[in-house]
Amino acid sequence: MTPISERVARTVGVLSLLLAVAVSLWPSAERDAARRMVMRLDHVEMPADSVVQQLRVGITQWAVNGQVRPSTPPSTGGSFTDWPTASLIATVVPPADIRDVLVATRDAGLPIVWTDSTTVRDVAIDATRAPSPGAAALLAASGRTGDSASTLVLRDAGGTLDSVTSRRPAVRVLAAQTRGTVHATLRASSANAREGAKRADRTRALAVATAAALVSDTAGAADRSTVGRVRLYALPGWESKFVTVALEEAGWHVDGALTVSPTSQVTLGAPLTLDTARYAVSVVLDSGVATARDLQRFVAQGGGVVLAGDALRDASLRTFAALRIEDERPPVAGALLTDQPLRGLAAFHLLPPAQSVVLQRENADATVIVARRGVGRILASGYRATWRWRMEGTDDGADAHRRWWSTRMSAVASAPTGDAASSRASQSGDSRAGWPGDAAPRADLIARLGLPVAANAPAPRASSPLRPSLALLYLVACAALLTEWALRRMRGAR
Amino acid sequence: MTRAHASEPFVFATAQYDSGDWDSAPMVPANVIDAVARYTSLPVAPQGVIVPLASEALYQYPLVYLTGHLPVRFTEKEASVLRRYLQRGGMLFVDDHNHDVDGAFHKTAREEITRVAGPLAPLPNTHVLYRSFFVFDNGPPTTSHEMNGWGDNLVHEHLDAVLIGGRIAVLYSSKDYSSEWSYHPDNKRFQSVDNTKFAVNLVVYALTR
Repeated sequence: MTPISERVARTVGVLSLLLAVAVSLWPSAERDAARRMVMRLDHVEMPADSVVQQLRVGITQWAVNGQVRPSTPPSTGGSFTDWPTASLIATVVPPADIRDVLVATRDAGLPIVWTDSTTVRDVAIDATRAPSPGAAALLAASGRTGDSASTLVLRDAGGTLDSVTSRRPAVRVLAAQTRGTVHATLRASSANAREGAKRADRTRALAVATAAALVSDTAGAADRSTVGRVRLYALPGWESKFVTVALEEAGWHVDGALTVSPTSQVTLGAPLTLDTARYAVSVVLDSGVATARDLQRFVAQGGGVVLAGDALRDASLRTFAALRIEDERPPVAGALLTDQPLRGLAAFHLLPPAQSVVLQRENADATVIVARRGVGRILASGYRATWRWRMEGTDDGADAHRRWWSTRMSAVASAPTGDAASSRASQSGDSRAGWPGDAAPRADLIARLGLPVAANAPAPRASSPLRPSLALLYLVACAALLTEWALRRMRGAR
Repeated sequence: MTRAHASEPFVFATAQYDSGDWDSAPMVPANVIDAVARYTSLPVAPQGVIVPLASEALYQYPLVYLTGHLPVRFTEKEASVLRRYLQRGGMLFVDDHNHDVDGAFHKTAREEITRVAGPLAPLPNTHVLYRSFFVFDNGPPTTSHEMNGWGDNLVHEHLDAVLIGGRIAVLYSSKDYSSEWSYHPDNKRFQSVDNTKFAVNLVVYALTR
């Protein structure tokens, strides 16, 4: 006959185990939903205090219900396992003060996700500073097309510079060399667009003024000081030499330290610590010459990183850029002398990460991609030994090589646009100097709070592999079953 | 961070031209390659190549060495290819194997360089070329041929160059490095001072500037 104590221990153990399994199988979406603290933002005049009030009420309720342990408040640096996730449903883009509240709350330890329920169609002009005083500015227009097909047009006084039609809600970039006033127009071109032809026409006078200043010889010297330099990470060789030549011919200032022996380096310019105070772009041309950590920090500051050619052999840099190499294509013999010279270069075909824009393709294969990472940007180019384009290409190969590299740099360069808000922030020492600010409130929100989540997406949780209650159940089950086993062994049974 | 990896080794190229004796210093490539491998960590091909000046294969070698004793006259094809080569960023190192400013090579080579790339001008002894690896405070190192009175019996104080975009496109030497460096690399052990160190500066400059 089995002693009562053994039966009790076995029963407790089995029940605890079953309960733990049941808790584990409880639908995670429901658990996540139960852990959400939902806020709504329906109109832009909504005062920031009301958001603070919503947050305060939500946290209080969680604390009163015992779901937040007072012993681990964020201010003490304790675990945030028990804290809920604040879920913001935004039907309008939050104004600056509310964005500040949300970011401050997130920084204080409360996870925040937001759902984009706005119907905003964005258009913005981004003036990238050309590096040389005599060069025209490179302008790009970005548009968020919403749910309908839209056409984004970039034009100046002389007519249309470029346009693109998108049938999906994605960002498109148009680039053009120009010196005049530029307009970006976003039109709904779909037949079923409810609002008919919705037009968002915006001329950013400050960006235009910047472009005009750049082509002025007198203003050139002053402007050059605001254009960041290029930090080169490479091994000595023809690729690093000719990329440097191309960039310097285009007006960029290049700093680098090329290791030529175990004890000596050749310095280009005056290489200093990678920092956006000095550098606009960091270019990595070889593997093993730059650390992902430094580049990550630079991008987090708003810098641009170009990973090109053999740099993509570096696994840590591929991880940093969140991309993969699909395959490697050998150079096509004779192609350097054709109208498709890039096919004459060996190239990696890339698997672009999510939220990236493919700048260059070979049929269906991506060879150059660019992605926004916070306030910074990362560009990856699969083309290797591009110096051959300049040296072995056609007579205009050198010009094309120079333009290609300079344009790629402009695509990621962190460039102060002269925007009034940014200037004020810089002058006041505001740490938000790198954010878009009110010039682009939605971009500012994304840059500071992250991308929106889908309406039914589960809320992210603070990291905790097991909830305490679940862990406790497993612990009780193990203890009870071990006790039962020990009792059985003590009476000599197996 | 993975180990630094260079995909392309440096290849030392000697220019072959129709006129004259382009192959008058056959041991120079081996000696330069030896010096680069000895003092630097640059990947370098163990063998040099000979590239015809009239061939577009020249564009594959952004640093090319040219020497000789005899008069030099570029063919139209050679001049055309060389002109494009220099405009695209190639660098030509020309050395007068005669060490004689009244010699045929010196006179004709300078005329041809002027025709193809523009006039040569003295390169200041403070130029970065003289500090690109080893430091030569007094400019180009003298050669034994300058010191023993051969050729024009002059010690040339500086090299001449044609600059394109601030970079050396043509470097012209009257110092006869071709004689100075044309010996088997194994024989360096008999020298108290390695006289090929300046060749390392040339290669490092070409690869980095």
